[in-house]
Amino acid sequence: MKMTLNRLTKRYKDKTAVDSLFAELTPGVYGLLGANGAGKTTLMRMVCGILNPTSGNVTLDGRDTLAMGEGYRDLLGYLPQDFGYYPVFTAMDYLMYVAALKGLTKRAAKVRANELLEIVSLQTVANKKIRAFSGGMRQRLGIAQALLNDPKILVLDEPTAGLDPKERVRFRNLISEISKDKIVLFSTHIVSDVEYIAGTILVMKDGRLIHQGKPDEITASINGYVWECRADPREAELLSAKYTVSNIRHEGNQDMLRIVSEEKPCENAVQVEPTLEDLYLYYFSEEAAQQEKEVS
Amino acid sequence: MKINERKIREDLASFSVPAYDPEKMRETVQLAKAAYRERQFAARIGFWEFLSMQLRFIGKWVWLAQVVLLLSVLLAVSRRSFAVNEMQHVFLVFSCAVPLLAFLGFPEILKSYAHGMAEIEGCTRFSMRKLMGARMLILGLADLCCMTVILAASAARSGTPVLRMILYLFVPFNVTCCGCLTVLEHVKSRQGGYFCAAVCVLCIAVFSQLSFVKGFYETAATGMWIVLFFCSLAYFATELFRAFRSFDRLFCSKQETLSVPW
Repeated sequence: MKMTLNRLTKRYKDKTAVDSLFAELTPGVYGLLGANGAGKTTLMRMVCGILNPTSGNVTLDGRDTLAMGEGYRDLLGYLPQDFGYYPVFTAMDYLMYVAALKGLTKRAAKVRANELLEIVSLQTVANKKIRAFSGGMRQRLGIAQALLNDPKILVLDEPTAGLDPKERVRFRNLISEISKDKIVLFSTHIVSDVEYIAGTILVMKDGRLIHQGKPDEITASINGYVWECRADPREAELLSAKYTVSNIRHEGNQDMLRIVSEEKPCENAVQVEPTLEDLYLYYFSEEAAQQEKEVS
Repeated sequence: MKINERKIREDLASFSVPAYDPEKMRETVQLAKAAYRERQFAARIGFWEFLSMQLRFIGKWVWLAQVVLLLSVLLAVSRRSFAVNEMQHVFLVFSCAVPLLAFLGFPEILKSYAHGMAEIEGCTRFSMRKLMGARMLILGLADLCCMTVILAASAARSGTPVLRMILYLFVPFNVTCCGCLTVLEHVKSRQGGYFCAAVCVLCIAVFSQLSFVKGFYETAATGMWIVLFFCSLAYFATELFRAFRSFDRLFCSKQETLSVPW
């Protein structure tokens, strides 16, 4: 099975959300990494066929997915970033409803719904109304609905949003278990999720794919740009203002800084092995700073 | 024959099961279960089964509201017999009840957009068009049944020809549906329900005012009613077609129209 994203482009009046993106996906887990506004959600919507590209297409084993129609949607499981629910539905009602839309028979839907509720640890609240659920519970229910038809292509937009660390670990294990013979594409801001689950990472910025490869391959692209140095608090403050600092650790009366920079930041700085988080900061430090400003 | 039978029975009784590996037997059972399960999950329902399943997911308040409305109308028209020239009361009831009956189904049709479910529903085997089509078919048939009951009751009570009663009932119904379908085509959010309610209120106001107009419901005006009926029917068909085309347009601008085959 091979999915090809053929020069996908989505242009709006004043913005190009996705710009001539090309990628070939075979069974495995793909982590889509990018800041807010990078075009991840737009890309995922085009992959799922709910948004028409301005140009380009998505093919599956050479066939246009839009032309395949219900044959393609039968293979698809999708969890949007913001998804709703009918307030009067219980968790079981919700899964039975989506199962009907996915074409499952009533008997198969019931069996599958019960299995998935157990997998996402919602079996005790199966008959409780969704409006009484916490955010994390709703997210788990959303993951469950995406898996109802045992999809061959699973698209998850920020699937770990709202999940606590324990739930995130459970989610990672679930994805690892089910990803055999499937194409799993998920987007996230949480670098550790991508690091642990994704076999291939796609880094997106301003609608373009700037990097694609295994985690160690793409972190190797910033070899020589990550430094560690000691500084007193005053100097640390100056360095933080001038460079992108991925971590500060206080050690007695000195600070240990981890800096992402193309130039050596200070005299005693030593190069260290880059991580995915360093890569994220290298490419998205401006966006991260902008978000911090908006929050404050 | 009997000796052969006896011999067969003896052979069968003395048969011993050959030795087998229990682990292999367990594996065979697992594989059989997995194959059965795969076949069970691979089966897909057709459109008619999907339609019957959707019936279960239509909100119970819709059915309740329709029953209450129907009973109210029947009560209102059955209180006394009407002479042909005392029909103003009946027409006032129609003016209020029929647009309301037309409106009742639309919040249910729009709920995918109102509750943010459209993105998930749009990616499933049965497309948004089929889902909306199923809802409209179910609710439309229910409306048709209600209208038939109202038509029968009021025609029987008043003695007005059935064909004229059809015109008096279906013109306000069509006009309200056209307005709500136009809303459905252009507004894909929670606000859609409020706009449909506004259309309903407007139609109630217009038709109830018209029910006081002398001569509007007289035999001489039947030609005008026939024209209104066919015009509203044509517009209804056009709006229905346009609304269907718009169902896969989930995100704002006209550029987002999907071209997924039905």
